[in-house]
Amino acid sequence: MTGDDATAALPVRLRGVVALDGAGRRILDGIDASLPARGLLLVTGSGGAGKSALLQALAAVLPLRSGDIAIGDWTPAQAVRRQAIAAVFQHDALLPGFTVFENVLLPLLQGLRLPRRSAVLRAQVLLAQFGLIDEMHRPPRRLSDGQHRRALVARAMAVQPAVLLLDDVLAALDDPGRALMRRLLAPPGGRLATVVATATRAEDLLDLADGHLVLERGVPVRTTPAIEGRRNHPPVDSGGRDG
Amino acid sequence: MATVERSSRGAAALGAITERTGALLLLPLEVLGMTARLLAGMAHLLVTAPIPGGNRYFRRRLLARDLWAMIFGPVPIILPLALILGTGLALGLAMLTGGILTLHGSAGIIALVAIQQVAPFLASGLLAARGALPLAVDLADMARRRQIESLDLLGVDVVMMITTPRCLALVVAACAHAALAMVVSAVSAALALTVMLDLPRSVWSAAFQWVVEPGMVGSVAAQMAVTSTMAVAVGVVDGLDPRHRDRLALSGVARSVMLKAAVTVVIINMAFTLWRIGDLPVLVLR
Repeated sequence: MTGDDATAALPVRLRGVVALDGAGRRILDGIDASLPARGLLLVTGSGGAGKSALLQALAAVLPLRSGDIAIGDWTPAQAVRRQAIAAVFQHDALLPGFTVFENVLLPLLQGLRLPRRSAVLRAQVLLAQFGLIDEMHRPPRRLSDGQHRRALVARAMAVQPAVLLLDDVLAALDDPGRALMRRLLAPPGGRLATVVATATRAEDLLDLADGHLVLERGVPVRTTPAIEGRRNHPPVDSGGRDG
Repeated sequence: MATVERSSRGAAALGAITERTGALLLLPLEVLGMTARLLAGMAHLLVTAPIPGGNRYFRRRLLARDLWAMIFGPVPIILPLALILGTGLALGLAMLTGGILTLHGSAGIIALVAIQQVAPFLASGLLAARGALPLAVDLADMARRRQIESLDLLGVDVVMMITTPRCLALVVAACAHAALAMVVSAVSAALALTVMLDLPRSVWSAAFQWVVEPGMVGSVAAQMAVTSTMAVAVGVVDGLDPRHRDRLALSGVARSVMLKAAVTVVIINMAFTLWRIGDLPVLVLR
């Protein structure tokens, strides 16, 4: 992926996904789901339910014991090599030695290899969209938690990924930040990528989601379309145990 | 992603060896393997990265920051230590020989103290404390937060981006520190011998002829470069060790790195000393 072209959003399909933690326990157990391009899958569950593990599996960070994940026609590892995936993990942080602007600039220069002028322009536009233009020359330590999370999402969106993985990004946001993030994730104008987002509180994103997967100890206990009336995209299919 | 996968696999395999042989045991294979990977990664980042402007901009920023921290940070520690060690070792050696040294013998003591003892001794502790330890803690914390993976997904090789300038800064800083320690300890040794043992001032010029002998200075610089690279490699190994990912104990990482890096540096110092044994100043007795 080079130049200014955005990667086209890709559908995501999970089939019988099983993954183990370091101690051999099943942290994902039989996840089946499919999501169309530019759809939003909301994954909820209590702490330790496997939400973060699911995102890590999608990002090829967590190896699968069995089952498979398809991102378009690619495996997660292939999608990662093509820089089609971006993620904001739960405890993610900006690099402390750089300003917010430089943090957003970094993947544009190093990852996308954009010319410097284009990269600077794109970073500025993104930071303006995320309401961080006044904070762009601050070091990360001088941001609030909410601003820090917004900057992380801006950095992830900067590379215009085909699939965007967001781990509990709304948790630290105040109401204006939450509204802004919802606007950026709302179809059809805001959402350019296929999004898999986790949240502790379902109501944060439920109305925007094309599907809702509820996990409990790694097992899908319920999988439903978020809003029955909105069927622009096919609903999430699940082979898991419906609750 | 490739870097993380490679590092994880390598570290996992090496971690299995460590489990069997004891976590704090120095693993020459581990250090050598990581050094080779580190140098290969650095070469790739420095030479083949095809981005005009982009990588250089960030490397310059990091290198400047690391250089500043590593060159100037330890100076307040180096100066008094070199002073004490230079004086103490010179006086100790002179006393042991019973004051029967000639001019050349005294000059030999000064050179011995400055080159053979003080610089490597200081470098051992400082390389471990200033280079490997913060690097390992930074990387371990980033691994815990999944920062390495999230930047890797965005096409940023953060491990090499952080490691390369740190390693370069450490090599430069180690050479600068060694030179500073050599000069300070030589001056303090010469002063001690001149004042307390009433040796002629001509011992100074004789001593400095030894100290600035190019072969010795060059071999000390080479030693510092090798030990710096290996100390950084130890930091990377422990920082990326997958055993620390699930339940990370930064104090454990710190202890392990400190010990391993210090042992690595001491072993390299000893190897270099043995290699240079023929160059050791000969004490000429009266």
